[in-house]
Amino acid sequence: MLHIFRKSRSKRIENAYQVPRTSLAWILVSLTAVILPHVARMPPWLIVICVLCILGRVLIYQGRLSYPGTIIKTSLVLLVLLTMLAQFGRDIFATESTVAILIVAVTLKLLEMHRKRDVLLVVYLSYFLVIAEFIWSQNILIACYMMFCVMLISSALMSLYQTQEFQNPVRTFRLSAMILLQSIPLMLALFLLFPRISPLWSVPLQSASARTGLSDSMSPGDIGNLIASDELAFRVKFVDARPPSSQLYWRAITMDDFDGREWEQNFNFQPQFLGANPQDVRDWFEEIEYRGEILDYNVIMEPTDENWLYTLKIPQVVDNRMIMRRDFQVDSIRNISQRFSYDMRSYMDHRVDVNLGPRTMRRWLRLPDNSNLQSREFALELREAVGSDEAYIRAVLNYFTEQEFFYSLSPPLLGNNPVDEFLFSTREGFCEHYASSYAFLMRAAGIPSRVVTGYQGGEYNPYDDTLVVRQYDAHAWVEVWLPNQGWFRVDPTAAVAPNRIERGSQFAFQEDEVFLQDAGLSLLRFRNSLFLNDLRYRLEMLDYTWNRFVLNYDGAMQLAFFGSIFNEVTRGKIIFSSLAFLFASMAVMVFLVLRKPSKESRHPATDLYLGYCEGLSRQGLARQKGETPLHYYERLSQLKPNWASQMQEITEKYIDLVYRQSTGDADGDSMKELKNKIRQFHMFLY
Amino acid sequence: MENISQAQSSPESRTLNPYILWRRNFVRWVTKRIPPSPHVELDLNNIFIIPNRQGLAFFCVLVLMFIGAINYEISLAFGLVFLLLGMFILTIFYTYRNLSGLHLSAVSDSMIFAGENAEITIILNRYGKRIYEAIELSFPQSRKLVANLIEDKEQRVNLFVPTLKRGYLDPGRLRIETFFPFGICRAWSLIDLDIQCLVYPKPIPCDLDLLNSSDEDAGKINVTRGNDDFYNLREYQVGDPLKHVAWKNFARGQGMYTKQYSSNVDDKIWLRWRLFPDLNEEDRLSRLCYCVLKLDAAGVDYGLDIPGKLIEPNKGSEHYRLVLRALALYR
Repeated sequence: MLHIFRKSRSKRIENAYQVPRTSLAWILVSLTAVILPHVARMPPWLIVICVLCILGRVLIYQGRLSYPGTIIKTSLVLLVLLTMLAQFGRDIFATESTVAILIVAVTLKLLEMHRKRDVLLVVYLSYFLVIAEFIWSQNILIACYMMFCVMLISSALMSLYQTQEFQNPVRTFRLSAMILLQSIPLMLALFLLFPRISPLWSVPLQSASARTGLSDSMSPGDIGNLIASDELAFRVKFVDARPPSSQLYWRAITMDDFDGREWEQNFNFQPQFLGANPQDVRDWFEEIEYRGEILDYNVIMEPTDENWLYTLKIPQVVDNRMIMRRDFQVDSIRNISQRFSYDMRSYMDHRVDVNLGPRTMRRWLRLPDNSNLQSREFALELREAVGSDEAYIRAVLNYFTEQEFFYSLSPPLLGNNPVDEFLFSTREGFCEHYASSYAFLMRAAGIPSRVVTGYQGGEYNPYDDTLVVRQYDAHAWVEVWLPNQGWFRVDPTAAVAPNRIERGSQFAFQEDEVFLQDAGLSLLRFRNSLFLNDLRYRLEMLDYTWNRFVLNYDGAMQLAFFGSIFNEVTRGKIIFSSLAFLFASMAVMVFLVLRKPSKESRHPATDLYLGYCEGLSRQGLARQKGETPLHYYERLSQLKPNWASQMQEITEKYIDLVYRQSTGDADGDSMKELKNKIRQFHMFLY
Repeated sequence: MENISQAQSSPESRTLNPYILWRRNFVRWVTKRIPPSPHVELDLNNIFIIPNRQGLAFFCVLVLMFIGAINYEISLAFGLVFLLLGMFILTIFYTYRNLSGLHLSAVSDSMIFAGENAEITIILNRYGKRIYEAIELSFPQSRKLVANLIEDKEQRVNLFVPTLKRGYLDPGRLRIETFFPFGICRAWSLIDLDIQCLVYPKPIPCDLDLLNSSDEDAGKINVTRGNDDFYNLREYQVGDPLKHVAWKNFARGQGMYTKQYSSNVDDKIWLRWRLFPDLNEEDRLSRLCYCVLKLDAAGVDYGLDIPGKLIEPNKGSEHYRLVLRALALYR
């Protein structure tokens, strides 16, 4: 009955719940802070709704606005949903729109937050919004900012359980920050040791198209556009020595199909895959002749939402998350929607595909029939004149250097026969123009060839030994096949602009205004200042360390971590050490939290009283555990009636001193009195 | 123990639903574990702690976040989930800490009559640097009040408990609980502060005439010294028996006087059990209590004669309390 009584009472209180002023302020502040980084990605009308909701909530608190009724609420939600549908269309279930919906839902909830449960929902969802931000950005700055947001949200949560009149924002924030900081060791333990599980289902990211980077087709001008961006493409760390910059051709996409203007991958052609598993090995693999030195390196690539990986020719697949195609392009099995780290092994010296079957040969020779006829004629004539394929390959390169060809970031636009126009009239182009026309001339003369796009070179950071490759390092070149030699690389750009290959595009285009024009005020602009350049290297090193050891920490690294501790990694050892570490860090935390208040803070009378108890315990009358002074006295007075009066005086005095009064000054005399009484009692005992 | 007897008398207990059975066992267990004591320091022995419903919801949110972290393979999301999990675990200790080391004692009202609300003052003390926030105190039948010991070393909280019957008040166990800091755990204790609060019977007005007349009607024993034993005259007061009025003096126009006889010469009035022959025990006690209040206010001597207790006529506050105590504790 009592229980029911209490329940009904609490229900009444809940109905009358008013969000306390300070809690509301905390909630609005933390929610704003957590939404802030999302703003750039959200449609503007959505931001307007968020701001209106927050303002509306303030007005509701001030009593200038009442809680919206059911009709207004329903129509608001419908309106938002319809606008969402109009905005995102079929992408409504993509991550970007889901997060947008979540943000609107939380801010709309502010308007009808009139029960404690609603308030808690808003606070808990705010934690969720922090994770949503990490989907897009995980750099150190964002991590620090989000930690601050989590502290704000926790303060909001804490203020809900504080008494309104006794709240002090500084104290609230300090305590919640302290609790969070104290949970960091526990977090580290779990982060290092908790088994990582592979994704349960894949989720599309809407902003895929917005990424800067290579695409799976190449027409004149495509790569030139990338030169304006200083965005990171990937970082490489070589296990041993670093090859010279002119050897660093990072292959990404191999293109075999030309339609007269655009090169692309032909998906009708059945690619033969080679994976790391033995059953995936195909016959053609046997023909690859790996030679010379092994080159091992680790690549951390930025997300592309595509499959291709960056490798040096010719790769050997060692990782079962990836496969190598027949044309040596290496693909990841899953789309790279997150920063991705992989180890790769390449052989710079090799002989591959010495024999090509007629069917494959045709694939590498295919050209559209009725385009670029002038170039076709030129190719046939030149081939006739030089006599051999090898001589023809050199002759075309010589043609580029001897004639007046220019390497330019802003070449004139080309019409319907781009190869003809480029070779015989404009003669001004970027690497894709040269690669495209060179491959065309090869095919026209009956030599199998293909265009490869990727990146060339990169910048070496002396502080952490990494090679940083940015979008402006994008490049296109050609691979040519000759019988008995197999596929080998020819870079016509190197013939026209040797600086581009030897010293990198940053050097080649330093003076060009198109270069870095999308990069804003980047530190890269100041590479001539020794100090700023040094600073940039150091920041990049920090970023690399963060990426490598925090963001890419996965099952494999976890295993490596255990491997560095134990000689032999077994499941039992992992579980045991994880639990031991977890409990140890928990024990430290618990000790910190539950540490007894320091001794000096105990009432001084307690020391005297404990002395008195000590004296009695020597008589075999020890105070029992948990026995209060009064109970102790009552028990002893029955055992030793002749001591009763003295014991009573002492006990009463003590209780009076410790529990009844808290005024400081009058206690001095009472303390002396207690001290004397205890001394007398002790003298009486012995 | 009181809770048990109340639970037994309530209609729900007859159906014996498992919750009530469990609760009864729990109360029995708590009674054994935390014995009554006038002064209690909260520590490991008497604080219970468990994550509550909000804690469960928080944990569910963490699980959802964890699934998100797995699916998007976001390292920092794993970090956040583990950070919040760490916070959850620490909160268990922080919530415990918000009660542990707190000293409690109680002071209660001295004069309460059944039907009134007894005021019980809970005194909370802290001795260390540790501060205590948002501590909720309640008796089973009182309102819930919140105490904060942030700057003060001592805080007094007055709880009002309805009293239904006379005798020693049993307000039930004091529930002291806290959800601070994050509301995801509940730390609580059920303590018995050994409150000695005596509830006197509820006074019910009655005809005070009974006190005089009864002496005469009933009392051959009391009247032995005789009605004729005239002693004095005093001014008539409303309620004096008419046959004791000094009619002769009245006729002489000297005013109205009452003759006083030796039998009630000292104004000694006996409050007797048989004054109210038709009433049951509690009603008799209530009326006797009313008489005591009136007689004490009038400042006359009165004695109490109820089965099992005889108190000689006297007056003064000590006597007054003695008599009320006898009435409150009548079995």
